[in-house]
Amino acid sequence: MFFAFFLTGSWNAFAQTYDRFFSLSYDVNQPLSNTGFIGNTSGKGFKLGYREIINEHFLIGADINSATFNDYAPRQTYESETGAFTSDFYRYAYTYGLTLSGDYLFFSDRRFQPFVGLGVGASYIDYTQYYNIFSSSDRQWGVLIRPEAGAIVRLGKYSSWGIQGAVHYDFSSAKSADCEYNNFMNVGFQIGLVFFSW
Amino acid sequence: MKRFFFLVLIATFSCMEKPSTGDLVKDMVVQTNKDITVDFKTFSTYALPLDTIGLVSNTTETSAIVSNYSKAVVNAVKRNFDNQGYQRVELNQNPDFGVNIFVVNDLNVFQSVVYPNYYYGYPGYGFGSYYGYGGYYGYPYVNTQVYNQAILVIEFADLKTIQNDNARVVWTANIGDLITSVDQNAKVLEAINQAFVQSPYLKK
Repeated sequence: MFFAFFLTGSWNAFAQTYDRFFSLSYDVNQPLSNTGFIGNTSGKGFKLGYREIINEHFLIGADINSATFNDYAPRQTYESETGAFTSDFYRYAYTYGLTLSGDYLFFSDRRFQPFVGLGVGASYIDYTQYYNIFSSSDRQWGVLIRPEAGAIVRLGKYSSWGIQGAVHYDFSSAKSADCEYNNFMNVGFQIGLVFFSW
Repeated sequence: MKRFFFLVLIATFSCMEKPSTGDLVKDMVVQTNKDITVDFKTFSTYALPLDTIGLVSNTTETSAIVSNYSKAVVNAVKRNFDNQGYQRVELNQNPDFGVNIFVVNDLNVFQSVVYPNYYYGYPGYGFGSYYGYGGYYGYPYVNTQVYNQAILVIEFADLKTIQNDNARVVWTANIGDLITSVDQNAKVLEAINQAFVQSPYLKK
C-alpha cells in the first residue's frame, strides 16, 4: 500500500505552490571514524532545515544539526611510563553542525520530489569522556561537508505539510588528539516533517 | 512555526545527554604515579601510623580521621606493602620510606540567578560532580550547585635521601571519588588493592 501510494501519487502533477519550507528531521547516524573509540549507532540526532526556492529545480538555505554519539569502555588499566590509570569510561561525541545547503529537485511539480543536496559549513564537536564523577573534554571546530540524497513527499496539493527522508554522509575536520580522531565521519538517515510556506 | 523550531533547537542544545550518576560511580578511579628514576627494590622498611589518616578539607579544621574507616584503610595499605616484601617498623627505627595516607575533601556550594528568557544559558554541566536544581523554564530562578568530592591519597616518601627536612615522594596513588561512589567502604579497599596491582614494581 505504501508503494502503491508512491506509484500512483508520485507522478501526479503538483504545481510548485511554495516559496520556502522549514523541516525538522529525526536523525539516526552510524560513526565511521575511530570506531574503536565510539562505534555505536546513534539514535539521538536531529536536523533543522530552511530552504528558499531559487527556480524550478534549485533550493538554497541552511541546516542546523546535532547528534550525540556514545559508547562504553569497560573498566581496565591503562599504563604509561610514569604510572597507570584504572577506570571504565563513558565516551561521548556531541556533534553540532551549521551548513549552507543547496538542493536539486528532480521533479518539483510532483507529489514525490526526489532531491540531491550538498551542505558546507562549520562543525563543532565536544569529545567528552566521563569516569566516576570526573570528566575530560576536547572541544574542536572544523569544516563540515554533507552530501545527501532523499525525497520530499507533499501530503496534499494545498497542504502546508509534507514528509522528508534522506540519507547523508557527514565529514567533519574537527580532530581530537586526545581521543585519536583525525576527523569525524558518519553516515545517517533522516526522516521528518516539512512545513511549506508561500 | 519559527518560534517552534527555535524552541526545539534551544531545548536540544540545552539537554546534552550524560551517563547516569549511578552508572558512573560503580567503581572508584585509581591513578598511580611513580618516579621512574627510583629502584623500589632498594627499600626495605617503612613507617606508617596504624589508626589515623590525614584530612585536608575546606569544611573542617580537623586534620585527621580516626575511625573504623581509617583503620580499615590503613590495614589495607599495610597488608599490601607487607605482601610486597616490605617490613613496617617504628619511626625511631630509621625506616627507608614513610607512607602518608590522607583524604582531600573539597566542598563548594554556590548559587546563581538564571534568566532563561534573557539569554539561553544552561547551568550545571561540565564541572565534574555538579548537581543543579532549577526552577521553571521561562522564569528567572535560583540555581544551587553543590560540588563535593573527596580523594584518598597514598604517598610513598623516600626517607633515605631527605634534604632540608623534605622527603621526596616517589610514588602516589589517587583514589576517588570517596563520596559519591556506591558501597564506599568496600570499594575503597578494592581500589587500594588495585593501586598495588597496577604498580608491580613496588616489590622488595
